[in-house]
Formats: sequence, C-alpha cells, structure tokens
Amino acid sequence: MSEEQIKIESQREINDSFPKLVVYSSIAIIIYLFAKMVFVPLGKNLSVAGISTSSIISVIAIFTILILLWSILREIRDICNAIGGLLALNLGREGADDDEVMHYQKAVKGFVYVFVVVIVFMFIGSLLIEISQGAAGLLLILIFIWAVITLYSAGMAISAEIEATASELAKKMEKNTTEKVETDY
Amino acid sequence: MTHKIILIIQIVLLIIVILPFVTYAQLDNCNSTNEYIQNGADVTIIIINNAFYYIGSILEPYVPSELGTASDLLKSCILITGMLLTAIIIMLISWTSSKIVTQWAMEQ
Repeated sequence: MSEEQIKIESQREINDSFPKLVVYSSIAIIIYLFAKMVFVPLGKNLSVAGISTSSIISVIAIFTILILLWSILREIRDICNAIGGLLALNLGREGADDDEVMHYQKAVKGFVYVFVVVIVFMFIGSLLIEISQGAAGLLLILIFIWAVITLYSAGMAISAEIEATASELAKKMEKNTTEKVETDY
Repeated sequence: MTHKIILIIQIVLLIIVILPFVTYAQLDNCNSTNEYIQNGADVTIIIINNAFYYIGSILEPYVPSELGTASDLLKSCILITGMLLTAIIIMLISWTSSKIVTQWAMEQ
C-alpha cells in the first residue's frame, strides 16, 4: 500500500469509527447508570423462585454491555489500525512497508485494548458483584493475565520496530563514515 | 422514514419506558424538608404498593408457592420486563445511530 493510500484510508477510518465509538460508549454508560441507579436498587428485596431480582437485572445489564463492548472493540480496532498506519508513516522508517505498519498497529491495539477492557471491567465488575463476588475476582485475574500477555506482545512489536530503525540508522552512519574516509584519502 | 426520525421515536420510547421506574425510585428515596411534598411522596408510594398487593391477592391462587408471593413476583416481572425493554431499545438506538454516523461519514 502506498503512503498516500495509507493516509487516505486512515483518515476515512477515523472519520467513520470515532463518532460510532463515542455513541457506543455513551450508550454503554447509560445502560450501566440505569441498571445501577434505578433497576438494581428497586429489585434489591425481591426474588423469583429463590433468585434475587437484582441478580437477574444485573445479568441482563452485563449481557447488553458485553454486546456493546463487542461493537466498541470493533471500532477501536479500526481506529487503532488507522493510528498505527499514521504512526508508521510519520515516525517509522522511510517508505512504510506492510510489516512496519502491522507492528505499529499491533502495538497501538495492544495498549488501547488493555486500557478499554480495564475501564469496562470497572462497569461490569460492579454489576457482577451483585451476582457473585467470586466470579468478579476470577474475571479480574483472567483480565490481568490477558493484559500481561497483550502488553508483552505489544512491547515486542514496538521493540522489533526500534531494532529495525536502529539497524537502519547504524547502516546509514556506517555508509556516511565510509564515504568520509574515502573522500579524505 | 429517515433514520433521524426513527432515532427520535426510539429515544421517546426509551424515556416512556424508563420514566415510571425513575419516578418510583425517586419517590421511594424522597427526603424532602417540605412536609407537604414528603406526605405526597409517601402517599403515592403507599398507593402504588397497595395496588401491587391488591393485584397480587387476585393472582395469589394461580401462582405456585415455590415462586414466592404473587405481589413480589408481579413487581419482579415488571422490573425485569422494564430492564429487558430498556436494553432492547438501547440496542436499537445504537444500531440506528451507527447507521446515521456511517451515512454522515460517507457524505464527508
């Protein structure tokens, strides 16, 4: 893909995905607030066949937030790809190749995914506590393990890029020095 | 019908669904310094609860005892239905909004 193409694609993805991301996030926050401040307190002392009504309401809210999270992550993936492309163009080596763009995209995606999932856990966790505290703790541990793996792979992608840039710089310096020595002689 | 009109209808529907629950929750937690307002809130809550007990007493013979009391079951059903409706309408709103945004991005 040419530099111009990457720039146009990235701009289009950001224009399309960012407003959607804002809409989905706002809607997820609204459903959380309705569940947490209206429905769960009202269903606190009620039960159906021994199951607390607030638990049933929490399950519905968590399920809805998870569906929205799926859409949010899809939009974030598009935005991260666009940002990764732009980063590769502006910060990367000369003539951004597909591998370089992919590395930057992977790094940006890794950091942003972890950030978003941690924020979403704050919402889902407080609803999950209504159902089971153990499940909330288990989810937290799973998210921690996933975050470590994701951040490690993002760091590796960045380090591969730094290594490639450093070797390119070293080659340039070597070439310059050789030319200088040749002209001196 | 354009997407914008559909979105407005969905938002109005959401307000209609959520408003009774918000009102009930606020009346339940009402702590006004004004005696008349406090009395009004208390009386309204008592009337609503009495209505639930009245309907519950009618339904009691048809409700199996293992499901709990009829008035509790009625309240739970209304709450769960309210939450489900809210979730469905909110999903519809997000779907319509995403269509509007895509259309706007295409125009850009």
